[in-house]
Amino acid sequence: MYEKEEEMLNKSKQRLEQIEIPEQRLNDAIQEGIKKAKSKKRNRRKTLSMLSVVAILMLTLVTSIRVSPAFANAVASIPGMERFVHLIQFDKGLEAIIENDYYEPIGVSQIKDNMTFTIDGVIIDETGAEIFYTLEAPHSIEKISYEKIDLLNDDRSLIGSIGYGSPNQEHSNRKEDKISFVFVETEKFTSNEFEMTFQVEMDSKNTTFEVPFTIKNELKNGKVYSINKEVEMDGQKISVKEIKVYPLRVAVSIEFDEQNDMEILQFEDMRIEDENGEVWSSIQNGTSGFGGVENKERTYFLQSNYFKEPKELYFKFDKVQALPKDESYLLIDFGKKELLEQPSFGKIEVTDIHSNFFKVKYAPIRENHSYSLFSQGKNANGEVVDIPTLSTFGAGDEYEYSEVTLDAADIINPVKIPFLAYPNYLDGSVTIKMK
Amino acid sequence: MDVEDLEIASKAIQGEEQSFIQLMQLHKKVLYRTAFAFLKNEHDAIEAFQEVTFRAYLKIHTVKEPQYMKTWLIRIMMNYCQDHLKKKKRYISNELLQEMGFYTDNTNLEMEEAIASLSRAEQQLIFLKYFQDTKIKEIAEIENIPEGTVKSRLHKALKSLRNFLTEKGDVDHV
Repeated sequence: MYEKEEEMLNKSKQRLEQIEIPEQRLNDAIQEGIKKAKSKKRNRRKTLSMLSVVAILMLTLVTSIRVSPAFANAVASIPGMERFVHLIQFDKGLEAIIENDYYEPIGVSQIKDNMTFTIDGVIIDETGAEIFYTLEAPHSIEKISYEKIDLLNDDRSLIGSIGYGSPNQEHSNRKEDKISFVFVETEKFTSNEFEMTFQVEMDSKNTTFEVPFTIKNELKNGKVYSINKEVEMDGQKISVKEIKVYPLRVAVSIEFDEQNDMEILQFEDMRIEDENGEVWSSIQNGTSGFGGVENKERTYFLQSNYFKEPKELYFKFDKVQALPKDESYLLIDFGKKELLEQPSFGKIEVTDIHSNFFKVKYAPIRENHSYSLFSQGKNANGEVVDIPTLSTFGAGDEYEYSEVTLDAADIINPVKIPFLAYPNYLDGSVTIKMK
Repeated sequence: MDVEDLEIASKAIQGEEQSFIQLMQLHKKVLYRTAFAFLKNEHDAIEAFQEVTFRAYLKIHTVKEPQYMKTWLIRIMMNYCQDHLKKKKRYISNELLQEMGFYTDNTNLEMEEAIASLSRAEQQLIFLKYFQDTKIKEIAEIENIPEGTVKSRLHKALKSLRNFLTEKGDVDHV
C-alpha cells in the first residue's frame, strides 16, 4: 500500500549504511563516556554531602533573545565582552551589572603544562562571584574535565556551590565560559585580594592553576529590607523574613510554620515588582536558591534590581505548589515492585518499578520549565537513599517522563521518596509591600 | 542475536565493566549510523555516541530483557538526538536550516524532510522499522503496547509521510 514510501525509506537506509565509521574516535568515546559516568556517580555524592545545600532548581531553557540598546552599548565598551554576551543576556540583574560598569575586567593569565588559563573578568559581591575565563592550548582540549575549583579571599576559601556549563565550544582548543560561585552565607571580605584555583584533568594528568587577582571596584553592599511578616495562604502560614538586594541576586528568606498541614514545594512565580509593573523574577539559569523541601527555612534567589531606584517595591507570589504532608511522597516497595502510597491527586503517574528504578509520567507542569521531581529518598531505617541519576525527557511534548535510579546499596524496603515539585496549588495570592 | 552477544548483554546488565565495553564495541556502528541519520555530521554524531555511552553506563542495570539490548541503546540514542536537535533549533531558529552534507539527491532530501515533519514517536517508529528492521513484536514488547497498535501507528506514520510528500508535489504516486 505504501510501496513507494517504503522503497524510498529503503534507499535512505542503504545510503546510511555506506557512511564511513570513525572507528578509533568511537573507541575513544566509549572510554570517555565511561569515565564521565563514573565521575558523575562520585561527584554527586560528594557535592550533596559536602555542602548539604540543595539548589532548588537549575535550568537552562532559553526562549527569546532580546538586546536593549543600553546593554549593547555597554558590551561594546568592554574589550572582549562580546564573547560572553550569551552568558549574561538572560538575566536582567547581570545585564544591569554590565550597563553599570560593575563588571571588572581582569586579564590575568597563567601558563602551565602547555595550557593558558586567563581570568578575563569578574563580578563579585557578598553573595557570590561570576568568573569569566578562557582556557586555551595549542592542542584540542575537548576532553578536558574540571576537577577542583576554589575561590580564596586572603587565603580563606569562600564556601558555596560552584556551577559551570559545558557549552558547545566553537574551537576545540579553547573554552570560553563563566564559573558561578554562590556563597552559602553572605561573605564579608577582609581585603580586595582574591585567588582562584582551577584544577583540570586531561589524559589522566592533573594541572592546577592558581591565579591571584585584585578587585579595584568598590564592593557594593547589599540593601536589606527587613520584612518579618507572616502571611496565610490557603491556611498555610508562611513568613517572609528578609529580602536582601545585591548586585548579582536578590535573596529572599522564608520560613514555614511547622504546624502547616501542607508541604510547600515550588513557588512558580515568586517575583518583585516596582510601581510601573516591571518584574524581576527567579534566576532562570543557575542556582535558584538554598534549602530543600525538608528545611523549615529556605532562601530563594531572584534576578537583581540593585541598580534601579524604584519608588515602590512589591514582593509577590501566586502559584505555589504544595501537597498535604501525609501524602507528599511516594512509598515504594522495590522488592515486591509495588507502589504502596502516593498523592491522591493523580497528576503524576508511576508507570514502572524495577529493583532500584522507577519511572513516572505527567503532563508538563510549567511551560518552558522542567522540574527535578525528586532529590533523595529515605529507607525503612530512616537512612538516606541516594538518587545518583534522574533523567527527564519529553519536554515540550504532551507528556514528560522522569526516570529515577536509586542507589541499590541504600535500599531497605519500603522506601519513601518525597516530591520536590507537584502540580497541585494553594489558593490565593500574596503581595507584600517592601517600600 | 546470537548466544555470545546475549551473554555479553547479560553480564553488562549485572555491572561488569569489561562486558559493557564489549557491548558498546558491538553496537558502535549501528549507534553511530543512528546518530548520523539524525544529526548529519561526524562531530555531533561522535559526541552523541559518547553521551549515549555515558547514559547507558548509568542505566544499564534497569534493562530487563538482554535480547532487546540493541534496541534499548538505539532508543537512548534517538532520544538524545531529538533533544539535541530541539535545543539547537531554539538557538538557530532564525538562521537557515543547516546544510545537509550527506544526502545529495533530491528524493532523499524530500524523504529526510518528510521524516523530520513526523512526531518524535513516529520518527522513532519509522527508524526502528525501516532502518533497523526491528520486528513489530519487539517494538510492541518494548513499548508495552499490543502489536496491533504498533501496526496502526506505523500505518499512520506512513500516511503522514505520503501526505507530506504529496503536498510538496515532488513525488508522483501510483
